[in-house]
Amino acid sequence: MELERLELQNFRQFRASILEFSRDDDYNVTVIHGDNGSGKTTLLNAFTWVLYGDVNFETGTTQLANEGVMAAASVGDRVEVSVTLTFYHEGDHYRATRSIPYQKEHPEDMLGDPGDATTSLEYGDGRNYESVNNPETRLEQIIPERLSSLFFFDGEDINELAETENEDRIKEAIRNIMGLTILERSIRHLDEVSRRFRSELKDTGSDQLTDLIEREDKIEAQLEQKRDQLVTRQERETDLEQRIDAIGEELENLDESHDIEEDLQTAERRREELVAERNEVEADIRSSLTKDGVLGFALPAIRETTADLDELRKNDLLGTGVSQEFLDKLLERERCICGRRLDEGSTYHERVASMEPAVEADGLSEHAVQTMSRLEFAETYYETLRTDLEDLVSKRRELNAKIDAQTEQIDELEANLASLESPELGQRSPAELQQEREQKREELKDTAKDIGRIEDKIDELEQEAMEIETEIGNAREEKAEAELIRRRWKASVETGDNLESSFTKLQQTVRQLANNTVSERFDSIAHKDEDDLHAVITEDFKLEGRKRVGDQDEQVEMSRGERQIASLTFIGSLVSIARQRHEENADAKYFSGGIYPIVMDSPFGALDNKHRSHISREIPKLAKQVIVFATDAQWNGPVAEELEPRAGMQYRLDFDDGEQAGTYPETDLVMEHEQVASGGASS
Amino acid sequence: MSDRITYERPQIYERLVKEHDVFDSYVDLFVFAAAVGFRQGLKRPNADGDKEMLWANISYTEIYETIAASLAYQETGDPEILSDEQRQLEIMGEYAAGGIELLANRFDGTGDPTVDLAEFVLEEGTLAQADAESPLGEVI
Repeated sequence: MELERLELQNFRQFRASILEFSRDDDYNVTVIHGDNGSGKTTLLNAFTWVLYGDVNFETGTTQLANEGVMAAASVGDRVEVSVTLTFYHEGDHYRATRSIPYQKEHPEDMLGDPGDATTSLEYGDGRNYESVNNPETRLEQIIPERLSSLFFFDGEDINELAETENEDRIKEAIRNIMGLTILERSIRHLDEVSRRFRSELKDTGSDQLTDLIEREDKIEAQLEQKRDQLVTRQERETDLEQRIDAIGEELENLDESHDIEEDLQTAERRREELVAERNEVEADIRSSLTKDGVLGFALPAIRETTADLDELRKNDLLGTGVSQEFLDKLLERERCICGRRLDEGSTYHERVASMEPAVEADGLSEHAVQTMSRLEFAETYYETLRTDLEDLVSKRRELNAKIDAQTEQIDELEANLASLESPELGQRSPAELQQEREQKREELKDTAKDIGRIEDKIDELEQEAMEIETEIGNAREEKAEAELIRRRWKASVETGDNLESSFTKLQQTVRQLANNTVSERFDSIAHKDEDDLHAVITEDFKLEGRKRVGDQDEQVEMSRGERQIASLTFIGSLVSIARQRHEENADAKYFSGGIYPIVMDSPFGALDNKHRSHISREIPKLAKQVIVFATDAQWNGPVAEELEPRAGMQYRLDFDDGEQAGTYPETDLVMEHEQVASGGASS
Repeated sequence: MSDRITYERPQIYERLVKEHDVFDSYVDLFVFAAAVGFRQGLKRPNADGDKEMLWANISYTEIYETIAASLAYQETGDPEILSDEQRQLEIMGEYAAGGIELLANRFDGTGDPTVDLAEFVLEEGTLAQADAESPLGEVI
């Protein structure tokens, strides 16, 4: 994918702006700089919006329409908000557009009521164009959304990638960039093969086998459905959790609600702790019950039996003593049935060893003796159980009371929030935020329940599937022909399983590749500082800093600047791996690898000049086409020094904040500078 | 062929063992149910259930062995039964079938029965204690 142009119409502060991207090989950087708030983040969002309908604004898609245009519109007018992205991909030229009409509802309406979004995608050779029927699907194939966070990212994302809990992101990034590898292709082929065998089996096999296979088919279909459902719910869960956290932050930031919100969060944390404690107590109760709960009911029987047997024994009615076998067993175990140790050399050992076995022991008194001696233990266990259980039950009651008290306090605080109805300028009122939070929490609860249900169902189905598979695998077919097919089918399944495990190994291989690139590039920067700092991606997919201490590599904390550089080089390494594989798999049937641009928003953060310089030097190497946003402050100094010579296109954002009467926030995109190598742009 | 019986495993087993983890295994609940059944004087003839309980499952835990012996002795009054493991298992099975019915009725809700069960056990303990201590206990 090679970006050509981004056109914005009425999209937030951009009334009618056109951004052309540099497509030159040597001057491969496009720079856009402007003050904070001038629209850099908006431009970044324009990409994800046109491609996937996603934006990362606080206000979501509710404030997309350009205020000035809305103000000038009449009630009932529709303001068309649209973004168009043109790009090249695999030899075709594409034009993607997304637009939403915002209808002005009343004279002071600055937001407008959004209508339905329309997306369109056209492709052609420059002269003739065709429309794509499923634009969203095709766009997903060209640049999958799962990869979007790798190629459109802001300074925060870069920071996060290098944080300590980052291994999932890295694993995911690697998995995502792998796309469909040759291995996956083989796995797919094997899947097809085994499916073919299976349907042959269905036709030629016995009725019983056919039935089994049909049942398996049904279950597989259900499983796929349930798994999709699960993913959707889990994504929703994450969204909701994030939104709830965001609301909490908003409430903390408002003067009115700040104190209440803080108290609320403290109270909630306390309640969580108490609930966790209660869960522990309940677990302890369960453990006591399973071990010794039975004694409460069984002890009377044991007591009486013991008393009876004792009577019988006293009156010599119990039988004829213990056998030699019995004695030998005790000595071997080195423990008497009464519990005493019979260590060799001890008095007890001697006593038992010298006991006279009965000539004809019938085993009766052995059992009796055993039963009687165990009574003592039973009584002790039971005493402990009772005390423990009573303590636990009363502790749980106490905790319940405390939890109730916390809940009361929480309810009160929430009611307080709900009463703060007047909004601060440009913000929502605490009451509104609290209400939304409560709604989201309800939804979260429902979603969690759904997830539980779906997971249970999936377990059930997987269990069933396994059972049927075993049955099918074991079925011996009478007809030789059918038997042959069955064996072939089985073999293809097993081979598929083996390949799956190779897939995991490949993941590690890619990690190593990425690691090599990261280490190399990072080292070439760090060595200049005589820091001897290395960056690595560990086997657990963590991005970490390392220093050589003696003959060991020790993990070290990286500074923010170093973290950012490490993250950038990691992303760059993935991009180059993707390009490599793309170039190697010229006739790949499936999407595997690709050439991607990188669009990054302010990757310089609060870094010092030295690090800014380093990062700027890295940027052109990261991808074939790099688009960089920077603040004016960042642009000055080392960043401009490094990047200006490599910038094929350079823009400035002129921002009018709309504070003056009669004006509205608006950004003008001004081209400052354009250069191409004499070789010209690639096409 | 080692000593074994068949038994039925109604839904309450799933609930207490798998769903809420109150008992570690079906065997633990089986013995518990037998003790409860005995205390309450509830027996059911061994149904032709599709589940099997082996003596080996019971004898794995010492105290369970003792309970099996005691219940069987209390039932028959015959010391010979102390060495008849098959019979002990059968008697235990009958009491378990009776006891599990009581448990199923008593704990038939859907929530977590852990605390209810704890109180149930504590209650019984109090009664048992009273029995043991009362002079009448010897006579009754």
